Amino acid sequence: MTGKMEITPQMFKPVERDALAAEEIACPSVGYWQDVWLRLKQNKLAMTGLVIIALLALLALVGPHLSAHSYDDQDLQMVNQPPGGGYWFGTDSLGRDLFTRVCYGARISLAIGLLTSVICMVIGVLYGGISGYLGGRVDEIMMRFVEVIYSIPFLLYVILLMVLLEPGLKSIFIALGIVYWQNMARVVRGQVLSLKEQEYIYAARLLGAGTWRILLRHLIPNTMGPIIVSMTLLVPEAIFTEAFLSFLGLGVSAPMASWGVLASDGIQGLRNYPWQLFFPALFISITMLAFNFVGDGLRDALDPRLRR
Amino acid sequence: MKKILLALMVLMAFVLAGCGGDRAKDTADKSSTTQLIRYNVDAEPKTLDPAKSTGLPDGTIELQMLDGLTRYDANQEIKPAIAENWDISEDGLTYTFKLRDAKWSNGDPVTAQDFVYSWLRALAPETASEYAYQFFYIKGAEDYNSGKGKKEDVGLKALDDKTLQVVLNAPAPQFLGLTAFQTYFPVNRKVVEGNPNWFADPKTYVCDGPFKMVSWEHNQKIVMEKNPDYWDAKNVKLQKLEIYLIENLDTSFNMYNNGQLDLMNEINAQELPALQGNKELKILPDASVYFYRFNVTRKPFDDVRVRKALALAIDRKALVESVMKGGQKPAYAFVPFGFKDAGGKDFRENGGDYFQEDLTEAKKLLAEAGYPDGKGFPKATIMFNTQENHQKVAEAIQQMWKKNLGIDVTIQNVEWQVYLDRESKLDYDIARAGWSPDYLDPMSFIDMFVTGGGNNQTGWSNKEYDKLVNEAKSTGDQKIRMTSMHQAEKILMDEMPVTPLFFYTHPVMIKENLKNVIIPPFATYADFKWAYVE
Repeated sequence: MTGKMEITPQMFKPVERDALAAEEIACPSVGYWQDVWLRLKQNKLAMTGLVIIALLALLALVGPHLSAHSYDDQDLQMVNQPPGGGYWFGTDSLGRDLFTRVCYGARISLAIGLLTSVICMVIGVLYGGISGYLGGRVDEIMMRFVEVIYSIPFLLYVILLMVLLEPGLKSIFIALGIVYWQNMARVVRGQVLSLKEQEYIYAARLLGAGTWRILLRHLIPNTMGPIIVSMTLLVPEAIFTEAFLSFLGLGVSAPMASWGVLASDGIQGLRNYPWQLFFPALFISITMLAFNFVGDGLRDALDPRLRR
Repeated sequence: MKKILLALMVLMAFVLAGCGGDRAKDTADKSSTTQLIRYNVDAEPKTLDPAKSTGLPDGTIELQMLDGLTRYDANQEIKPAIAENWDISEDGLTYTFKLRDAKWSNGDPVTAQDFVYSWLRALAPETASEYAYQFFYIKGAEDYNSGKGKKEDVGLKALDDKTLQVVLNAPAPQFLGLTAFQTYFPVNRKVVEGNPNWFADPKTYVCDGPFKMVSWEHNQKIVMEKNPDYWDAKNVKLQKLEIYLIENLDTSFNMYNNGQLDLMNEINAQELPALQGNKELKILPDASVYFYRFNVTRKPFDDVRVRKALALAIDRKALVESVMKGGQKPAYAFVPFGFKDAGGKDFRENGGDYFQEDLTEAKKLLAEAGYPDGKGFPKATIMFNTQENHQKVAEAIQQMWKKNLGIDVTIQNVEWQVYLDRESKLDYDIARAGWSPDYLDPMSFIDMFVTGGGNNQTGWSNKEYDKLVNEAKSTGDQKIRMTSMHQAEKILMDEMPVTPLFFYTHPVMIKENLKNVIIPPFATYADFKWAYVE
């Protein structure tokens, strides 16, 4: 072959470089929580749930002021009035406005749901975190204790506690809080057990971080996902349990009304005044659904394996 | 927690079944008329020991199984039962009962000794019967009960196996009626001495009445069968009696609608308006009073002004018309209508009302007692036994006191047994109560509140009152008795250890094919001795 192909710099022409385009990244950089939010937003059910919860909270806040009646105002001339006119949801057997009572009940039921789940979270996270991180014999003893409590039928236990504590809002918080934290503790322990073998924990330990620091700064924040999911699912459960307790006469005391109390009162008039049961039951159902949707949505959104 | 859903679903199923089920059941019943009545007495009895029982459910169940010396008939007249006949001495002090040949369900004869034994047992201080005072008409009975006297000195004697002699302190026209009352029921000495807990087990519950107990499922039902050994068995047509012990009035109502009950003792007030015109609804007279007890051993109820203020601030008319809705009458005195006064007229009509609702007066009294506009009023609780109607009354009164006097009270429902227990231990502030007379005489109401009386349960004591009751009890002269009782009632209403709310009526639902069920206005809910199914 004669004449080698000469490659000269002249043969090359620099490509036009667009500085901006080079900087552009095909996929936006998103943090973990942003990603969760993005994925949650795409879940229609979960969003519906969130909106409903927001509306319920709004109703609980302003609802009682919308009506001319107070939640404990009795008008014995106006008992068992059907919905309409001055009483949007009708009145109960003592002439109290059901709309105001349902709104007021929302306050109590939502408060019970949220507070109980917060109490459970605090107890459960600490207990589970300590148990999982320390491991060994401590873990063994702490978990056996949880299992012992777990083996007692929970309703029996709540009822006994309620009898002991005298019915009232405070005792409901305590009773439900005492009963429901174990699940949370187990979830957190499981997470911590697997996380504590990770390299970054070793690193933290090598750098001399103490147990509490590792627990609070590294382990617990990284278990947040499952914790939040259990919390959301616990809210409706607590509301339902309270409704059930009120149904048995162990709930908040009159004239205060939670949805459970209202349903329990309403069922007496089921045959003749069905709206007295319908409205509280409707709100209980809506709330349960909303929280369950959000909980399910969060579970999917928080699962790193489902991350794109 | 899916249980509540399940419960709701089951309930819906019940309601739906209620719509269609009736007809099928009815025809089934007609084709084979079994002589069975199913009845709900609304509570688990506290005890079925006649010496110790006090509640109406207890007394009603006992009445089906035990026969006293006498028994009330359908017209509320006293008729011979175990006693075939009796003599009353001319001074009205000595009663001699001649017993018939009656048998216990275990075959033993019912003897005069059984009666002596049973009554002394109820009186014995160690039995601590709350109803012991019902025997205090008998000579020496009060002393024995209070530990001051001896058993042998009680004016009770079995002259022979079939003759019982009773000596009273003073003539007492109401004594004969008492011998039909639960505390006066006989028990079988041999059985009781052999097994102190005989009354708790159907196997050992020996009866001398129309029915005997077959089974007892606690909080569920008591099943009874006709007692073939009963002396009057030929007049007992019913073969089987099922007494349900279900507190929940809705459950009870559903059961009635589904044909699982034939007779319903109590109806949820919420159902009454819709039942107007229903042939099965009967609103029967009831000589009972619904009232609230104040615990006068606790502050602030030790102050009569507080008690009165609370009493005057209750709108009884609204309670009766809007809450109870069963034709009850507002009560402004303690003794209900339906008792004969000395002149033959009604005791209540003669006595009239002793107070009136008056808000300004109530506020004034409360201010005088140191709680102007309810300020500084201590925490207080209304206690009642779990039942929808009581709950509503309590909630209504809670609100009336709040609105009218500025007082906040809490309300608390407790189970029947707990309620009885706490009431007798004076472990309450304000307690709901009802009183049905044990016999047809105002004395059944008046003698409750003597100092230390077993059914006083308020801690209240008044010498003048005790004196008047004693006066009434120590004579057979109706005029003096009634005057003393009117005066005593006035003291009771002035001092107000209890505040009457309304006089009962007794709305019941009864299937039209039930005949001859006696639903008396007092002492017990029902007597099935002569009842049958058509």
